[in-house]
Amino acid sequence: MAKILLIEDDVLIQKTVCSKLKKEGFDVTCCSDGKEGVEKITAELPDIVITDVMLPYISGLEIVSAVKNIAQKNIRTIVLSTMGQEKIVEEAFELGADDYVTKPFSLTELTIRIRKQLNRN
Amino acid sequence: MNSDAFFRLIAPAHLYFAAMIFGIGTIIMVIMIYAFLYVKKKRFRTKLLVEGQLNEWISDALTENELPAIVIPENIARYFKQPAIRQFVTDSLINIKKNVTGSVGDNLVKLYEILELKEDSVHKLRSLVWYKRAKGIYELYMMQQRNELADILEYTNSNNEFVRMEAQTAIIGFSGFDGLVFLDSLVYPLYEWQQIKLLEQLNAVNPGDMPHLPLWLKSENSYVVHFALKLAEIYQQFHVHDDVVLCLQNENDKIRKQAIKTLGSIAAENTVDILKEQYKKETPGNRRVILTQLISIGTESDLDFLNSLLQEDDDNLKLEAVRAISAINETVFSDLEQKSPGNTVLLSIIKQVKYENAA
Repeated sequence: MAKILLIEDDVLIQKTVCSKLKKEGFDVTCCSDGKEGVEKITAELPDIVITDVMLPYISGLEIVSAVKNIAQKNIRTIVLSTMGQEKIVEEAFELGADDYVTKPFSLTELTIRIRKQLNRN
Repeated sequence: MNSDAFFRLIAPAHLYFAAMIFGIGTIIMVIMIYAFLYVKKKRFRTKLLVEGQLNEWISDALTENELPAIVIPENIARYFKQPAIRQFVTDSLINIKKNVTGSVGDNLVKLYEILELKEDSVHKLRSLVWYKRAKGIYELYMMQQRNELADILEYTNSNNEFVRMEAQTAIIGFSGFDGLVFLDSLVYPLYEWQQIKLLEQLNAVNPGDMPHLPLWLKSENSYVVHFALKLAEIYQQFHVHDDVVLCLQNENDKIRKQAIKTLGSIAAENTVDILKEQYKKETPGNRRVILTQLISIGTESDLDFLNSLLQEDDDNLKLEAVRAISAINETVFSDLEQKSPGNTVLLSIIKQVKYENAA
């Protein structure tokens, strides 16, 4: 079962996305801030990290950068951005992000993108 | 205070009275703190209970199929009558709706309707208190309640800035460019911030012909004219060229400035001549904007005009003129340096434009 780490500070959104991904059969872990996210990435080595851009303590971009520095595993990253954050998305790609989804997003679309990344692995 | 008065003040009767007041005060305060904590804890528990149920409903919404029949459990039903709890549920649904689209979003809307939260929003929409009205409009818009469109449209011309802005955002959200029909009768300001917000909203929508644009360009409301000029510029509405030219006669500098920019974007054959004619009548700021337009729409026939501007006192205008010359004809620009020996200001301007071109 593919392991997914979702880092999203809005608890309600986190619960919603988490619940949907669990229903889709993924092994999902969630956390609300960047610091906790980085700890979980190194401890659990998920297959995919889905991260919001704006997070407490450590930003989504720093997380993308941290993920790419992990040598043990090729972890895929999907960035959750909002409208008007095109520059940040560009930066995220430069740092090594694999894909992005713009809020508001369709959960079906997110699931498809996750599967696509998993297939690439 | 003499010693007699002091001893009278600390007499046993007085001290006893003070101790009584202090004691009663302390008891009242403890009771109040206890009551406050009790109410807070009760509210927290109620919220947790409702949140649990809400999560179940949301979980149903996530199946992306038809929502199953929603029944409010008895233990929740009595709390569900409380306005604060209903507001909590509405806010939660809107918060998720803001972030998701597709069938999950549609299910959230259905959930909002099934739980009869729409009635609350409509009630707010009809409230006399402006912030409640604005909140009601926001909720109805976020939850795609199109059948309230007519009521919301009325508020696009509200005298309250916040209600007006919320209603305009909602109408554009519902109807795209067709929603701009509110500009026909808008008498209140459409501030810059709101213009930016509306343009951002319209960004993803097909503009069509904007048949009302000539009407807006002639509006008595200067904000509407300014916004219409922006629309004509961004969406290159060539059919309003002559109406935009008329805006160059407007008394308002800001409108003339935007009209110049718009003409740069929708230029016709005679546009450059019109702008050159306008140049003489304009403020220094607007003259700069005219020269900026000539950078993109100027031709060889404008070089004499631009060369004549190199004698201007204003160095900023000289800079724009040199930029325009450089954009129109590279050779003429290269010759400028040799033709201006000793003109240190012009030489440094030429140097700067060369540096810009190289970058």
